[in-house]
Amino acid sequence: MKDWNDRWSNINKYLDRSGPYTDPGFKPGEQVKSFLHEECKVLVIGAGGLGCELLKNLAMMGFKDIHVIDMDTIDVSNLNRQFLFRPEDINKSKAIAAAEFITKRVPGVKVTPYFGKIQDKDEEYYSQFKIIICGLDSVEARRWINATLVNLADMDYPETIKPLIDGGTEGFKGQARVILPGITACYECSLDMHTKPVSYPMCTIANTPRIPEHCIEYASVVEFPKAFPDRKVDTDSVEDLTWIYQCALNRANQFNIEGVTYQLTQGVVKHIIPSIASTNAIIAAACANEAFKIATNCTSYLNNYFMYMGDNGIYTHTFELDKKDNCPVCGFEQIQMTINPKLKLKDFIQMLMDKPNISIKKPSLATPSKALYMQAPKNLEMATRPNLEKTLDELVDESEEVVVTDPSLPISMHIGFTYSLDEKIVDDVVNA
Amino acid sequence: MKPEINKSMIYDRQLRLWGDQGQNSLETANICLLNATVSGTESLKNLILPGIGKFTIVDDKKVTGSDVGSNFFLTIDQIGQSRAKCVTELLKNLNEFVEADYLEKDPVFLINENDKFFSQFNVIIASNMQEKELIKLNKICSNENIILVSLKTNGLFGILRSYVPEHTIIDAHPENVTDYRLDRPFQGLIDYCKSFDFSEMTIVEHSHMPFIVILYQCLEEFKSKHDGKMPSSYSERNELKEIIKSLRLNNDEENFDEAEKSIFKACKPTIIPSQLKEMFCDIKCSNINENSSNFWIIINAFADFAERHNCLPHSGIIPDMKSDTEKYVELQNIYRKKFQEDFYEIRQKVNTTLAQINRPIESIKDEQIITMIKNGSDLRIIRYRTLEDEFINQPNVSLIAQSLNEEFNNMVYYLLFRAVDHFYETHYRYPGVDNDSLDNDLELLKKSVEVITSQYSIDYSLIPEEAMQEIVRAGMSEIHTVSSLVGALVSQEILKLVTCQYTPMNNTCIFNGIQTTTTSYDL
Ligand SMILES: [Zn+2]
Repeated sequence: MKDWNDRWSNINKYLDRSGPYTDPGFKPGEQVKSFLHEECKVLVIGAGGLGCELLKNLAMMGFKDIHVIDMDTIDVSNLNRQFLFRPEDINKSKAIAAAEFITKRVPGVKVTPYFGKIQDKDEEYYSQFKIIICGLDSVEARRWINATLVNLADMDYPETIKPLIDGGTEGFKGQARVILPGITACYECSLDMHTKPVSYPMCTIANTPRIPEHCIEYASVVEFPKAFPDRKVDTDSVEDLTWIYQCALNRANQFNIEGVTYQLTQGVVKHIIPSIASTNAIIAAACANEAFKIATNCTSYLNNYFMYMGDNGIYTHTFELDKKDNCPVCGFEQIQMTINPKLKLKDFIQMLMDKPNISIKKPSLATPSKALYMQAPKNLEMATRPNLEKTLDELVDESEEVVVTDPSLPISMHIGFTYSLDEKIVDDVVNA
Repeated sequence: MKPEINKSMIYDRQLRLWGDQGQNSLETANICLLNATVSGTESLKNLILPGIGKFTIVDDKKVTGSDVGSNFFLTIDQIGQSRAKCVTELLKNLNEFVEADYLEKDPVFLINENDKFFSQFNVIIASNMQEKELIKLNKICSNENIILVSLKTNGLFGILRSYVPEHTIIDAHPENVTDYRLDRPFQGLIDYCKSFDFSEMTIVEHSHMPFIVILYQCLEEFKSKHDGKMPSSYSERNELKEIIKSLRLNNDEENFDEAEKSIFKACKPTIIPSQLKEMFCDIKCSNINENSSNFWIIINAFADFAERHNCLPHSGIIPDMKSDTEKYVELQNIYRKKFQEDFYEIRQKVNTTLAQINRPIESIKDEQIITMIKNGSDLRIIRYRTLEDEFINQPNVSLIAQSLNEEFNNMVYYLLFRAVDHFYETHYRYPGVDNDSLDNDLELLKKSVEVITSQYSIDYSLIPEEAMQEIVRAGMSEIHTVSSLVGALVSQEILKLVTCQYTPMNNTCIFNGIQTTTTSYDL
């Protein structure tokens, strides 16, 4: 369809005019407009709180070919912020419902949904987009797309460098950032900036529970598997949550601990992050604004991190996050670790899983000459399992490089050891 | 089958932030939006979703093609119809629990001719209004005790300004509150801490003794060597640390780690924070009468308590710590008992006051007192400056001048927003709207900037020509992302102001969409 009169009169102030802070390469006029409207295909990952806002913002900013991926379905608790959904949409695919809404509301804008996982798609799929914008609540999904886009980027072919704009929120706080794969700091470079979700030591929840969370955690990780050995907790099932709540309440009564409620049980078991419309709107608008500036070059864009805190006044911080030379995704240097050679391989693996800047779930380890421990395939896992009880100096020479991989992430980490008997055998991080 | 839906399910993710008390306040909010601009519409969207009571849009304009191009809550078939009506219709679909209304009138007319209209609201969002009318509106709001948030966007730039005659924060949600009272232990705590003898314990008991007990006993030993005084310097705190270390059985005792880590906090004297002292001296605290708010009646009881005990009532809250269940629960109960005693005193005083001013005791609920006790040291009042003071009576010249000297400051854009208003007052149009008069508009804008800077006796050259060019380029456009962002900042401020939770911005915030920065100023 043809755009109606004055449809783009607002953004055209910026696209028809140059400005003093604009890159000298910017040429105002028809070319940039037609690029924005006709050619600039963008991908939104996540159709939740941020995703709904992102889709609205991109459609209103002149992007007309928008794709969206989300594997989730709509839950009643989404309705306080995911404004493209109505009560009758509950249990439908978020991606499909959101795409339908935008396509219907904003004429000439086509939103193409994919109801599934980002890992279902390959490099060729991601290559078709000019910009990728993430509104996810999962660290793992972000790491995956970040690593995929960094792997895709070839410095000799600028079109392979896909700007990744990433937003995240929690309560009254949030952040928006621009990642130019291979050029700026990537998501993995700043992994240690993210606070790990609270976890409670097993000995506490089993032996000395003190707060309601300890009782809930015990009910869900100890008592539930005992009662239902053949299945996992379904965190979306009211029956399962009620069972855990009752169980936690009994335990709390037994220990005179107050404060176990159904709401708290849900929060602990589902790791619920409080979320409101306004914070999502702020962060999504910041992300879409950068997408518009990157797509049109009408003015400078964010380099490269915008942090927002709204719980105490309006505080924001805009700064450049540094790229790490030893980043396991975009860096080229080994990660150097000083380590006690008497550490057992299994404890070393635990340490890798707990370190905030590494934090990988199922690490497989190898040196250039041999496999140390492999998660898969099964026969290799069996063959390498005895190594877990061996100490590092039995397995690896100080001069050898250890390569760590994880089947769920397109990452390989290169670690160099310095052995020192002064280092602790049990890392503090484990118990922190 | 459609699943059963209730409010607590829909609002679950926000109730985890502001609780039922906050939600109740929100549901009584009756909000008026003046001018359904994109930013104004977006700000309402984020308030309708969490469930305000009612909104009303006042706007006399007809929907244009440009409006539909930038406002998500308008559609192409509505061009030419009432903008107030159309935006209201689409916004109201967002939440069936929210009441909606609109009025097809010019807000300026209402401000000048019918100020009584506004008394039905408790929040007004004034979008894209001129200074002259904002000053009048501000007066209405201070007389009627209405929250006023004004906002404006111009291209990639935005500004918001809050005004509340007197805002009270009853729950700031601070992180890590610690109030152990170890510098002035109460009897229950003393008795409990003294009842243990570390030399008689098994290893397991020793490593599960709450750190508060450890600190208490070590402090007693320290005080016995220092005329009964608490450690007050780095070296004295180190001495305390050595005492703690000497009590350790081994390096693995986490409760002793916690004790060492808590030395600084535990040695900080229990004081009455300065903002509470100020409140205690406030005329509203000393002069309680029929018109006093619940907040001040409770503060008055706090003042009475502080006079007798020289501290605030205890919140009854202690953090989780390494301990066995039994001792942790016992210790928690000791602090809770202290809280209950303090609460009882406050409640009695409040009841006496209520009787004196002929109000029923139920008019202040226990929960309100409890919330204030739990947040005692973070209670605050903010009295916002009026727009008349900001623009005319007492402009904050020193802050403006000082900020202009900073590199990459956003104060420049505050002055440019004012200059654009002056431009409009002078020429009845905005700079940069028309492609044909950009150069001319830049020259005229410079004149307006000169008028504004001279009002503050500020050097005109502190406003970079590039910034003025950028404002002319913006041409008063409504860029959706910027409008959405600034609108959402307004929503968030209103959430904080209405719930009296978290800390709102005081009083002006500028958003710069080129640099992606914000700056808040107390103007
Ligand atoms: Zn990196």
